[in-house]
Parts: sequence; C-alpha cells; structure tokens
Amino acid sequence: MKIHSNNPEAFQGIYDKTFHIIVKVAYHITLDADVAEDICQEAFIRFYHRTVPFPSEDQARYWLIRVAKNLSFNYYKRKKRERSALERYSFEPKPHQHNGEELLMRSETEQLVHRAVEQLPDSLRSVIVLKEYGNLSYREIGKVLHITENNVKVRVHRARNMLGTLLKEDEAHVL
Amino acid sequence: MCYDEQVISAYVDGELAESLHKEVQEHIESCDYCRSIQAEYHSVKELFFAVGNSPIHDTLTGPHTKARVWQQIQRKTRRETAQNFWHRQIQVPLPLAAGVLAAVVVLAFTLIFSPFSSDQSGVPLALQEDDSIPSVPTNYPATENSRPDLEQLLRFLSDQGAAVEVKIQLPSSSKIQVSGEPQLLRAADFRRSGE
Repeated sequence: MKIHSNNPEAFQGIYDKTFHIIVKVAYHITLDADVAEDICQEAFIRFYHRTVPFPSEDQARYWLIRVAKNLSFNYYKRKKRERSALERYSFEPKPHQHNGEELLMRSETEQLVHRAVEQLPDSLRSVIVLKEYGNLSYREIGKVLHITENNVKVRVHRARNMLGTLLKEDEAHVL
Repeated sequence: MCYDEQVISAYVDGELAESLHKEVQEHIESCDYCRSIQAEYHSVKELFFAVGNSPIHDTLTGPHTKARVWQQIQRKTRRETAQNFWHRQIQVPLPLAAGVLAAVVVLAFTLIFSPFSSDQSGVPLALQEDDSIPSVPTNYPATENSRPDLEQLLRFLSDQGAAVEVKIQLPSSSKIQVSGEPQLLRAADFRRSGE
C-alpha cells in the first residue's frame, strides 16, 4: 500500500513508530538533546512536504531515518568546523560545550562511549549508531544507507574492533 | 575450525540463521579463542546497552518530548499549508494535461476559423444576393421574378414621380473593415505615373 506523507493518519502512524529511533540516532550523532529534537522536527516536516508517495510504510521509515542521519552529520560537521576555526583564532583549544544538565545526566560510561564513537569514521559511526541505538537489523540498516546486508555486517565488525581498541586506550588513559 | 570474526560479530547481534547460530554457539563453548572474541564484542555491546538506558534517553524518547515535537511539527505544517495555499503544487496526470491542451488548441482553431464567426473580412458594401428589399409598393407590376431588381424598382418609382427616402442600414452583426485601395489615392497615383 502506498504511503502519502501528507495523509494525517499515515503521518501519525509513522511518527509513532519512528520518533524514538530518529531522536536517539540524532542525539548520538550530534551529542546534543535540543539539536536532536530540532532535527527530528525538521525530518518530519520534510517528510510531510514530500509529494512523491512511498511504496510502503517501511520505505517511508527508512527514508526518514536516512534524512535524520544526514541532517545530524551535517550539523556535527558544521559545529566541528566552527570549533576548529575558533580554536585557530583564539590559539587555545576549547572543549566541546554541552548543556550543564545534560552533562550531569551523562554517566562516565556514556562519556567514554561518546568519545570513542566520535573518533570512528562516518561510515562506521552511522552503522554502529543505527545498530546499537536505533536497534535496526542488518537488513534495515542496509535499506537506510543503500548498502548491502553483507556490507553492514563488515562495517559493524570493523566498528566493534575499532571501538574495542579505542575504549581500552581511553580507559588506560583515564586510569 | 574457528569462525570468522565477522560471523561472531553477527552472532552477537543475533543476525545469523538459526542453524548457523547453533553451530557457532556450540563452537564458542568449546573454543577459548572464539569465546574471547565473542566476549570482547559482547562487552562493547553491553556498553552501548548501558548508554542506551541512561536517564537522558528516557527524557529524549519520553511522552513529553514526543508530544512537544509533535505539536511543533503540527504548528509549522499548518502555518506553511495556509501560506502556501495559493502557491500549492497540484499534480495532474500527464495524459490528462495533454488532453486538455489538445482540447484548448482545437477549440481555439474552431473559434478562429468558424463560418459563424462575426469577424468576417468580406463586408457587404451593397446589397448582397440574400438581402431583399423589405417592402414593395402595392402598385408595382408583377414580374416573373418575385424578387424585384433594385434598379427596376428605382426606375418605377421615378416614373411614378414618387419621392422615396432611402435608408441604408449596415449589417449590425458585421464589422466594417477597409478593404482595397481608396479610389482617390489610386487616381492620384495614376496621374502621377502618367505625368
């Protein structure tokens, strides 16, 4: 059954099924809860304005997750460029600024994992975020990223190996 | 024989087919090396699981955040829909659009070249064949042709010594257009060329 995104019932159904995935994926790429909400909102507004119908509900969900993932990476890269420009200008490195409340809510484990995930290349980072936080299967991740299921398997494996090394290094550095 | 690390990684994710999953499980139970690999991947996965269940996730995916984002989306889409009413996109199937275009072209040609069109270039300057004299004097001698000739009628009236008032009424349905060259100009041209 084709899905018309401006159909109120279809829109609400997809919002209910996809919101939690999108907001988590956006948060773990941008590492900012407010930005994650804004990106979630933007992705659904783009979805609403899309005139071409989707062949199925799953295709609509994959499209939404892909848009949210791309928006999140665009935001993250822009912020990174701004930070590095500021650091060059002021000649002193400034740490990434986070909301105080958010920092309090983040455990040491969370900060450790975030630091490790931030160091992954985008291709591995997107796969591991979709797998671990979006709880998507290899097949679904492949549909979202337009890659094969086998490629997803390879990327998840590489990401895990890299993360294992990075986490060990970070733990040793902290201790 | 040990399994590839990718297979063990997929095993940790529960992505293997049931038969292969059982085989890998049995192998891991008996192989220290593969068990260590599986334990390493599992510990990384556990860390993500712990992060995924942190308080900020409850806030992010909670009903309040979901309702707030939903309201913002509704507000924006409603406003944009109202603003874009006159600039909205309308989808028309290509065959229908082509059909309408063809119909418009045919209608336009029909109107332009129709014999019923009021825009006739041949404007009657005198009486035409179809135009008849509206009334005939009662003492007019009957002719073979029931329709009297204009010149005969004028001659008859002259013989009778009757005064007649001639009113020329141009056809109201036709537009008067200038056609041909004016006689005066033509005469002037003729004189000039004769000199």
